[in-house]
Amino acid sequence: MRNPFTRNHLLSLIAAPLIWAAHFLACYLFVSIACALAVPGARTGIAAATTLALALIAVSAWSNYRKWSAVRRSNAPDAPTHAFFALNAMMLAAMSALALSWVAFPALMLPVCAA
Amino acid sequence: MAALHDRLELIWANAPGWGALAAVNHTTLGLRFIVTGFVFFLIGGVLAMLIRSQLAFPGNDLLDHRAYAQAFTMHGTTMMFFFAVPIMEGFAAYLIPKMIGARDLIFPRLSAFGYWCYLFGGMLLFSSFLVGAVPDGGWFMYVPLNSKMFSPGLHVDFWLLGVTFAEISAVAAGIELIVSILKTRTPGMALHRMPLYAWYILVTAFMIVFGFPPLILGSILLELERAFLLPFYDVARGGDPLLWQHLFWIFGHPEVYIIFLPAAGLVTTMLPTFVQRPIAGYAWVVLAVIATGFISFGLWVHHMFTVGIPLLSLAFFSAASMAVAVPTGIQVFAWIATLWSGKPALHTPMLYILGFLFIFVLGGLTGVMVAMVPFDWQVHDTHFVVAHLHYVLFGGMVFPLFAALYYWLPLFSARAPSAHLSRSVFWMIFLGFNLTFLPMHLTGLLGMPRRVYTYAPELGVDVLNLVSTVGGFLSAAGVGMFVVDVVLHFLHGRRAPPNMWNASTLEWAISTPVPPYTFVSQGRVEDREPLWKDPLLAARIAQGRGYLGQPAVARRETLVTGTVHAEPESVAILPGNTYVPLVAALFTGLFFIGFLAKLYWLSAIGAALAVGALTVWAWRGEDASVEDTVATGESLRLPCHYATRQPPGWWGTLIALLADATLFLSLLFAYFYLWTVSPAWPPEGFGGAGLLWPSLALIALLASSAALQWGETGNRQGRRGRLQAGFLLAMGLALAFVVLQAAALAGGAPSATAHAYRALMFTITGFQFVHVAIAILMAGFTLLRARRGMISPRRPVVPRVAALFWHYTVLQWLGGFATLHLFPLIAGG
Repeated sequence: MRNPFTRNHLLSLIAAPLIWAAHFLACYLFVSIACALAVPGARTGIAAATTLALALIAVSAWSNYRKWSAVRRSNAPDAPTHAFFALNAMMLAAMSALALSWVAFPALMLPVCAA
Repeated sequence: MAALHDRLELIWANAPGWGALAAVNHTTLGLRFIVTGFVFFLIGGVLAMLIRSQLAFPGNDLLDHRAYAQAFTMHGTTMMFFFAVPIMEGFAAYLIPKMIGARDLIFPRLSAFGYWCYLFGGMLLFSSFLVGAVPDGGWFMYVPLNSKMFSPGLHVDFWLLGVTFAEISAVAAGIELIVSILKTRTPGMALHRMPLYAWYILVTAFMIVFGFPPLILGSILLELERAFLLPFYDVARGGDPLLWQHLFWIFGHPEVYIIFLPAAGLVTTMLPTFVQRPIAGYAWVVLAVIATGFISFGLWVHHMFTVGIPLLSLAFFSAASMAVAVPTGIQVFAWIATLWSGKPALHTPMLYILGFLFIFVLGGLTGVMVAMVPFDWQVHDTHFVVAHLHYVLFGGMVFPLFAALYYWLPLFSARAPSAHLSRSVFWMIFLGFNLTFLPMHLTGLLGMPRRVYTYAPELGVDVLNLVSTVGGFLSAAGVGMFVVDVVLHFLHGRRAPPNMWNASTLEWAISTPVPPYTFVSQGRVEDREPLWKDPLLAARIAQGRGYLGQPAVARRETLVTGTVHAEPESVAILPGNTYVPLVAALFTGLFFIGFLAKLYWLSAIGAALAVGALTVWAWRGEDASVEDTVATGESLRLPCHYATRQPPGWWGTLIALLADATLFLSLLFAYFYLWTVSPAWPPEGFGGAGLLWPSLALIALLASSAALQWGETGNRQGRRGRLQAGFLLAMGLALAFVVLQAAALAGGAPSATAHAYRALMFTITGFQFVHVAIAILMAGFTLLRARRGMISPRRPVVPRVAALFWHYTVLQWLGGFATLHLFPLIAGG
């Protein structure tokens, strides 16, 4: 099966920020629902979502790094396209990982439902 | 060659006199958007001067509290919805085809329809002045202030209906720009060679598609509450005013970037020209724009830090609000690095760009300050926030706009901008702006609240306010001088040679003033800076030596190319001048006016007529006389787009469905949000609706999808009878769905006005019914065309588009069914 993170497709390009968005939404929902209905487990949910999201982003970053190092010195006519997609996907993965960790960080320090 | 130009001119020109109302050309419509947007800018500016005059002295009585509320409400509304967004859309509509080497936007009639909706929406809103019901509840229309109880008049309805009407144009522009950028770039312009402006507009257009529907949905719900008493925001009946704030700001924060990104794109396009070097860090800028597009959707709660949301949620949004500064910072560094890489020439547009950098960076810094929750608690609703948002929006959008107006004036007029007056205009606006808003940071920190019509001398802000007022009038005078400068430019401006700035992008390959057909032929592009790399490209294009430059051209045509590599795929046949968009917009206006006047029969007539006009539009969408393949002039014949499986219309439908799905998800968000604030779900006395009827309805709907698909694949196999049988069967099953689902809702339960639970049940079902009705209409349309022999395996578009919409409708109901009929079983225990 072809790696869905490394195709020359717009959706592959934005996979990492899409993961960021899904993670952001999940964290927001966990806290909102946990506090509205007074059910526990928000922190566990956030931890699980963050681990999963970071792992997926790492896969994207690593596979695009390998693609990029394979094509960047190639003379094939298609190489610039491959290199562009790989490089941008890789940089978006780094940016998304940064933003994602930064957003999840307060969950380590703050009580879940304090107002 | 002159013969080819004359022939193209004949095919592409707008009709003379009143016929100009039938124009669909992007150059004409882009200009109309820009000019109309600028007129709204002047109106919004006059309102701003009223505000500043009132605040010049403590206890001033120029405006009373009501007039002041009207002035700031209309100032904000006008600037955001009728100036900033549309004028940036106008620039995109005007520039995108020219920059990507296409002859026109891909859906010309949609551009025209969008323009009329925008203009009529603005006229509807401003007609509130004529009947003395000017909106006065703030540009964000918070409830309960703007609910029926506290705003019983028509004020709020003017706002909701006028703004929603105009928003049709934003969504239309979003769809059209996405498909144009992805599918009509000139051959060879692969994604990694695309001008950065196109990347900016692509991301912005997607943000419009996902950002505007929540506000449209919120407005629909508020109008339903005001007109028919369905409770969504009324606490006593299970609603919540915070739902409005969420829906408004889920739109409202991306909106800031929907305004800023196109402006930043203009800067990124102009800056390399004045340095005569390519932009530094192309890939970094693409990364930054995409990242901004995403992160800006995670900021909305920072407008709601003070409403009592759990602290941890606030921290998420605070973190995202700081994170968004990173991609913005990347862009700022790319601009600085570009300036550094060459020797900047200080022409007038460059002055505005430097002004932009200076002011926008300051606005960004105060933005990081208000992203901190504790700081925001201190300055919330003070003039500090007013200063911050003007630094961001005026600095980030109005300065690039003036730069762009001066920079591209030669394309409009074939004349060079003035050398001296344009600089005085800059200094007036720059100094005036800073004089107005720099002291305002202090005014806010000293405690002067926003949206209050006066202040006491004891507050100690009278000098600061007077300075702000003087500054405001200084920049207003600057804008006045700009208008004079532009008038003088068109009358007496010095003639400019083509490509007077020696820019690198394709729009400067066109002769000036720009002819209606844009390019004589479509050239192949092999580089990010085509005109610098290939100085003869412009001449080749003008001599008709590119694609579609054949002398026998008979129709409006532009190439459809592949999404990633932009290799030619087919030839799009574009429609010529037509009144249908104008008529459709007028009927749509009738719908809105009927709603405003509470003459619902008039609304129904307007809606029916608008649907009729759109049917005529669709019927004329495909020219049966076109042969299957079209010559492109480069010894290459390509299929005409009607004969392809995924033509632009299919793509447009897909993008429209993304917006539609966002609208539906916003509705589901409302449902689940109100569930979280409700003590019991379903509320006492509202439960007990069985699963039998809804399940039968769902089965009928699922079966309809299968029947329709059976018909559609039948057409592709050349079995005309199966197409008709499948579509007829699907229509029957869809009608059965409506009857069964209506039966499920009828029952003896309380009416929809009793509780938000019931109101949402009716609204979500009604939303589905509207979709089913449209789907049935599309299937009927397909049947009619099939009977006329206009559908065949070689003309598969109409049934394919109908099938796409149909399957989406069914998919949507899976979400609707699960929410309405399964979720209460789980939530109710």
